[in-house]
Amino acid sequence: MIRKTIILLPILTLLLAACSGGNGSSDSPAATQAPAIAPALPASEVNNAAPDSPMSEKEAFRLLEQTSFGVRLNDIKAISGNGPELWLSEQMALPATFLTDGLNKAKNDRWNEYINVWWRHAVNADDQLRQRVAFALSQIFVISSANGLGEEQAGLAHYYDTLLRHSFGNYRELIGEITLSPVMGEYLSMKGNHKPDAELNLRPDENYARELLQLFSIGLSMLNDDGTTINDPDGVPLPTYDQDIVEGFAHVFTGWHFANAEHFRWPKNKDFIDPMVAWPDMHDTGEKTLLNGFTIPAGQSAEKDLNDALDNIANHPNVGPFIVKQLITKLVTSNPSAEYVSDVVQVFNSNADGERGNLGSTIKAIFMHTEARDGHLKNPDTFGKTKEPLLRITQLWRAFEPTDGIHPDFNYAWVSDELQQAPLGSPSVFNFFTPDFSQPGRIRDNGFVSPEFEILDESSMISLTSRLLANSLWSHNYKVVGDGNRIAINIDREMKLEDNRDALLDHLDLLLLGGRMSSDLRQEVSSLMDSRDYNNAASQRIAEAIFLIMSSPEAAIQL
Amino acid sequence: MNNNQRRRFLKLGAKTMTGAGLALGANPMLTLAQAADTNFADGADYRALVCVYLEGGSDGFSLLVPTGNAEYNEYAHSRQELAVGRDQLLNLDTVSGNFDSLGFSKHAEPLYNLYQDQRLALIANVGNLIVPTTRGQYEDKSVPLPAQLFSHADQEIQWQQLQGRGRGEHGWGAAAAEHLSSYQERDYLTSVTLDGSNYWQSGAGQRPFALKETGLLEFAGLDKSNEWEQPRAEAFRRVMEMQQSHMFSSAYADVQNRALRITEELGAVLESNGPIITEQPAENSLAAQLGMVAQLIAARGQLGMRRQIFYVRMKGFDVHDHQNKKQPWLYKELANALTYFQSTLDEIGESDNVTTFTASDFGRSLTGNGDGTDHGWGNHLMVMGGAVKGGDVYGTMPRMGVDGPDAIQNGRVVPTLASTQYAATLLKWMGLPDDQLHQVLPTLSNFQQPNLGFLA
Repeated sequence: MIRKTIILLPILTLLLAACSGGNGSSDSPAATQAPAIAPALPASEVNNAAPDSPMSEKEAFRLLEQTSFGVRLNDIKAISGNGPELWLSEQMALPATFLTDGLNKAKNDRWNEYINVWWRHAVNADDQLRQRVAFALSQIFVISSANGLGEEQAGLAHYYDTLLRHSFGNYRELIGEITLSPVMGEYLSMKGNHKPDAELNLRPDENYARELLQLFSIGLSMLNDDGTTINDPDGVPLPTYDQDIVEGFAHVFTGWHFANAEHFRWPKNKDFIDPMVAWPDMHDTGEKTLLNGFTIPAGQSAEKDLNDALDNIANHPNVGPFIVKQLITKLVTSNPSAEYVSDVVQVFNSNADGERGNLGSTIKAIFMHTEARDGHLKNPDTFGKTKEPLLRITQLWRAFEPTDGIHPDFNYAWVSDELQQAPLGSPSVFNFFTPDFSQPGRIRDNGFVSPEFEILDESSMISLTSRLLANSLWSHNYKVVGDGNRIAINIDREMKLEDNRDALLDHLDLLLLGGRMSSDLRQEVSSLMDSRDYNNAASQRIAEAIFLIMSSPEAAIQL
Repeated sequence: MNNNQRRRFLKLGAKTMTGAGLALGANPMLTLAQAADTNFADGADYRALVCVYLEGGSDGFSLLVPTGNAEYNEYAHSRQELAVGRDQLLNLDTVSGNFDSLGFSKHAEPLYNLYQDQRLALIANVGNLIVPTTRGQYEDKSVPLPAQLFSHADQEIQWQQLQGRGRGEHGWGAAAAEHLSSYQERDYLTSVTLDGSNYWQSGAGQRPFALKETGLLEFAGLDKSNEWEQPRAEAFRRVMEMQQSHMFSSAYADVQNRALRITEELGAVLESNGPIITEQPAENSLAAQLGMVAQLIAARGQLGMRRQIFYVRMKGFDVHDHQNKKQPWLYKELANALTYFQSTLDEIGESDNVTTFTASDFGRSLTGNGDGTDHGWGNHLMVMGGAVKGGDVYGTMPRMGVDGPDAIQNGRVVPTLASTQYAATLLKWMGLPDDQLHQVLPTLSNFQQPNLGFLA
């Protein structure tokens, strides 16, 4: 099979050229770089692709729910009647909306302002698919403002932009950039990692080496192409590497520091934008044993060692199933079938052009696969995923998008205190929740996983419900205007339907639940509206209906 | 700046119990609870375990240090500039007289005082093991080893589950809670977490109840007793009671229903209790979590609880870098939080009934990387409480040489005691009979000493 091995050096040169003169200030030129271009490959390159036939409004809702931060009525109207692939191709061709640009334009210079910019983009950006994929990538290639990087907003935004740029790019290029990202260098302590010193009992820092293998590429256990583990006779999964291999990679990742560092040890200058640069004297030039018995010979440069090591990782057979399965669980369904994973992994391993690791092809394959389009019909009680808390909030704001946009002072940067989730705000490199978390009870008893439930406990559920209530009942445009504290949802459209209860409920059913509302829920919504029967209560009735639907268990899942 | 806004929003939010000075008075819920629980009058036996999880792999080798000349030199040679200086160590005597020269980190001095007071014990070189293991056996691969040694997530989960080499179906806390919950009225409060989901308390049909360190939250706008909110509050509750065919919707409704029930029931009980007077250390999340635990323990009579397990967590122990800067602060914060908690237990008269223990992913490597340490294996842990046979060190101190008899992989220490022995000692004290103990801890029979003896 043909494997395109991407060489890191041209990218580095490009980046360095683009950033020349950059001093880590907030106006990073890198953000204006063109994102990786989406492939013009047909979705049919995935086995068992769904037919690209015209979508009903309900089918359009499902595609939009999977590929955006929330469904808007106009989008349903616009894409129903078309096949799903057109939407995907159009989305992939849109220019990227970068966090850095938004941060530069922001009126405020507040703590965690990048989170407010993120809200703005999640709600308003046109390139929804790219934004949603980058958000998924940010939960695989985790860095966090929660551990010492909180002051480095420009650096955090630049890192997020790297994910946006590569959302439809190539996996090998992505891990190349991530590895030399100064923000990652700080977060997983690769910056300043120096060669061993036997006399002082100093070994290289293993932090980045270990997490790159465990979380960003191949995982701990040997995998089949369908994502299932290969086990030993005790039923324990076979490990992909041992401690000696971690140490091999730790030696590879020696000799790098901030682009403007004046000393190798504890420099004062900290460039959190430009890629880290090599310090040849600090790099270990010994032989290193890596995955699958591959050996890096002694005497190579830091750059060559790094490229060889990343190629060694990127070509490991685990990468496809490990990365693909995580993307599927973050975008489509928590419990994909082995066939679904395996079909998409084939595309990851080699797309129609013979390229390995093309994320654009992979993303298209994920959404065009029959299981993504029809899985809910086959397994109506188990397919799909629990919505992440942040998406519950953005869904509301997109469904009732404020006509005047979001107030420039709007501030909800402390969201993680309430919802246990924030963009680039994970409590550790292990993300907000782990892919194999399984809620005790019916889910665990039947061998399913439910990752998002790891952050849905009584306390966060009360906060989320209260936030949904405050954002709908207390924050609509017949009650308040948007300001620094709130986004006023726009319910003009619903007010026009208010005198026709059936038409209004049909509309809300389609807009918020894709036509899946149970008759019981519909009845409760209608009765609650009846209880607000005094004069001039139309907006109250609408807001009550929106809250009750949005807070229901039916709205908590993406099917 | 955000705090004010946040507090304003969370007026729906936190009922902070500590120091709130809430009025005592005729409370129908309380009366009901007391009436139902006449069996649990004062003096009825109560026992609680509090797991203080130190996230990221704590460096026990900076807490408890051998101070004999040869041993200290070996330690200092391995640790180089990360070695704790002799001037930073307090001399530690042991009741048993088993050790002559040990030092305890000055940064954790408040805990040293508890140790001297014989209410704190140190357990040396504990870690995940399947069978007793030596350096030679590790290197020959001649014994079964825990899967994925040195990996955070895996060692944390194994520590919290103790179900064998890999991942199991349930935590040892959950498995024990299943047996313990028959003791009490309110099963859903058998396991309480102040840090969300965790593996220790999950599985075997159990899921911990999650509280926040700031207190019990309230639903906004859903108060049944408020005339305006009532129709909505009732509709919301009826929606949560609907049958859900989808497994995720159904599980979602389950959590909501627990949240609804508990805010009503527990909120009423907690509000009726007086504040705890012991002053809580400021800016200390662990202390705040433990303060909430103390509030719940103080209400155990009203709630009809006789056995409970609590989970709290402190972050930041994964010191790959800046160890010399971070480590002293970590121990200070930990020591302040633990001693505060012990004082609250004294205040409410529950010291003998509550045992607090530390746990962590693993210990850290003896060798450094220039600025910090990496993932190791064996670790020194602490047990605190009135029932603890304190003022002593249990187990054996490992040799600290990088190439010494106890070290593998460039200075990672092979544990001499198993986590499962440590857990068994704690659960035995909780009253778990031997047959259940072996069900809960399936590898316990691989070790000769199922009870390490640190609890009376």
